[in-house]
Amino acid sequence: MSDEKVTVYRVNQELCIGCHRCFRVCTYRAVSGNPKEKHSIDVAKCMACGACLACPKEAISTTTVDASARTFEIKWVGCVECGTPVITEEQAAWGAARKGVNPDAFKLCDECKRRAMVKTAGGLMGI
Amino acid sequence: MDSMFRVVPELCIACGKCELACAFAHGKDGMPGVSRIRIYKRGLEAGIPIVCLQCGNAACAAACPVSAIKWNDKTGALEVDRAKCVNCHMCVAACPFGNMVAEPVEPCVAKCDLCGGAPKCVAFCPTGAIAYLPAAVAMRHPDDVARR
Repeated sequence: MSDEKVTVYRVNQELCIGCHRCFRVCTYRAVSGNPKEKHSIDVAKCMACGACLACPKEAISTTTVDASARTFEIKWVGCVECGTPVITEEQAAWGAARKGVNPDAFKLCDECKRRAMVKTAGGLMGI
Repeated sequence: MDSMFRVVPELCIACGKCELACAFAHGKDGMPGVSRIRIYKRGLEAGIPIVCLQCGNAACAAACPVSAIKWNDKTGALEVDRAKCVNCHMCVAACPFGNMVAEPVEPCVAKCDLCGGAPKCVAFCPTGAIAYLPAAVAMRHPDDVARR
């Protein structure tokens, strides 16, 4: 066991009002809890991005835990053309449920997206 | 927002000056940043500059969990609020054109901010392949432009 510490976010249960906002913004799906109930953050999934600081009650703060507690295993969704990791599986599921986002865009990395755009637009212009 | 980019691929010689200009315009402490404009090379000395389209109904802004990508009314650019960005890269994945750029050094994504209304890539383009013009002028057929 190493003594290494990592930073994660946690919910102060006394301040949480169950507004569900942290759940909605967490792209890694680390927050669990139903609306109007106390929410909590799974240390094993938290990537410490800080999106959950959107909390209106300031119930979310950082804490340090042993590095061994952070057991997340990143499952990448790769580009279908070249295999470059684009986003994690949790993020893809989160993004697919988001209004105004086309989940088809997650299939390609930005390099391959530009190539696809050139193929489409360039074909129209005849180059 | 009354101006837009006009890209004429036939004029691009893939010299890379726009990328360099962008990188230095967005760098700090004398170090270049990451280039927001990128040339798609389609052969020797031929390319297509690919730059953010500043979409009206932008996927990057919709995908952002913390609403860090906001419209700047003054320049007509969608800008990343560096203080708000949590570097989750949802916008990079959501952009259908591959124009969101992941910053390798800073904990924030990057995108074209039109350099505050006078894009540096345009100023450094030697052939006029990329121009920033009033929308009415930019929308003319490219053939008229190439003939001049």
